[in-house]
Amino acid sequence: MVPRDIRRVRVATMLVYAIVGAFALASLALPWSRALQREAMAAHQLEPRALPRWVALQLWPKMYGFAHRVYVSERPLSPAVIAAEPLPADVESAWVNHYPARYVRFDTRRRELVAAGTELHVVVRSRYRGLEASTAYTVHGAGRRLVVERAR
Amino acid sequence: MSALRVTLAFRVVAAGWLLGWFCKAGYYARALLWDDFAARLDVAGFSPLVQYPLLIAVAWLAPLAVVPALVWPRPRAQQAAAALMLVASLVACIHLETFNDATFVTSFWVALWLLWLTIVAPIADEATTLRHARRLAQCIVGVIFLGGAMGKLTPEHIDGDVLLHVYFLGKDTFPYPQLRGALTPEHLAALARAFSRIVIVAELLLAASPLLPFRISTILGATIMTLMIAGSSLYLVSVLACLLALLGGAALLSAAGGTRPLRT
Repeated sequence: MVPRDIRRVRVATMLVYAIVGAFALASLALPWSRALQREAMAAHQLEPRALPRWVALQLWPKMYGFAHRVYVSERPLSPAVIAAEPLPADVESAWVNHYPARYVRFDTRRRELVAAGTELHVVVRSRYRGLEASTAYTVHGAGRRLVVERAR
Repeated sequence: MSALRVTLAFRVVAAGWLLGWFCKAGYYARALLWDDFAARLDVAGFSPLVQYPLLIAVAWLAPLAVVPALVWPRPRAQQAAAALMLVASLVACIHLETFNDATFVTSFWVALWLLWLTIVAPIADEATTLRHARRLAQCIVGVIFLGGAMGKLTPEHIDGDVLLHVYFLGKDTFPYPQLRGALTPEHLAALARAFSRIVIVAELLLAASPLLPFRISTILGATIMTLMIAGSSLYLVSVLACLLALLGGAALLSAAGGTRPLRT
């Protein structure tokens, strides 16, 4: 190997180790770091982040972690409604393995929703070691778009 | 390192990667090439870039261009293919149509290993390439399952609540309806708790891959991941196929014969 090649091999190899190591350290610190828990929670809840931060959060392996539940209804969902046991008949609910906010896409019936113009209300809740996050979304069709907004 | 070994490893890993990437084509072809254009997603607060339908449609189809590099192995073609896989999986990880699918996260990390291999193998000596190829493969398997395991160190997983509701009460595929019919709610909850703890221990074992000898971590990884697929659903093939191929490819680097020098 010529010196230039030795340098290239060393740089490429150390770079990959460094990237893997950084993400491993973040995962190891997760159970004890509220700041990291909030960041991971934000990704599960589909909280907007600046692009570089969103990229880092998405590459951080965290599949099937945290506890998540999603609620869907045609009426606004107050905390009292989703806390009710059993839930009212017009509220659908499911436990989700990860990324519960994916439900706002309505993958299997998006075209029908957009065509009908129906407004739906979605609440996604995530929990991890005592930390809890809940986000309410309104979803409706507008033109050929499915508009997803965080409820105020 | 001989070109034959690198090509064999490249083919195995890339083929496993493509299998995972496209095994849900029945769903993604319709969703990404049809539905997303007919009813475009518009999520407030996110850059239009990560919602643009054409971007994710192109990124999902782009790895088809990897196939020629499998058939006609040339170092430059392999490098370009690995770079393409890395970029495509990066786009899929951040795009809002696909951000939740773990397939693309595992694909990204395996593509990173492939790109490293195709850059380093033609210029590094055999011992260096082999040592780091194995170690990096172990590290990648480790970091992926470490993230999964740490995310489950919460009472809802340790007590089995999540597994109970997502699988035992929520799934209508074999064997969950049968279990619901045969077991009392208490027994079902106890079974979910036991399985949940087994999953956490299994993920922690895989997370420890970099600390184990390569041969043991490969056998352990292949066994646990195969059991995960069998015990969960075939959809997990899309997530784990590339990782299984990664371990296989790294093992083949040392196992395969061949001494033909690399054409650079």
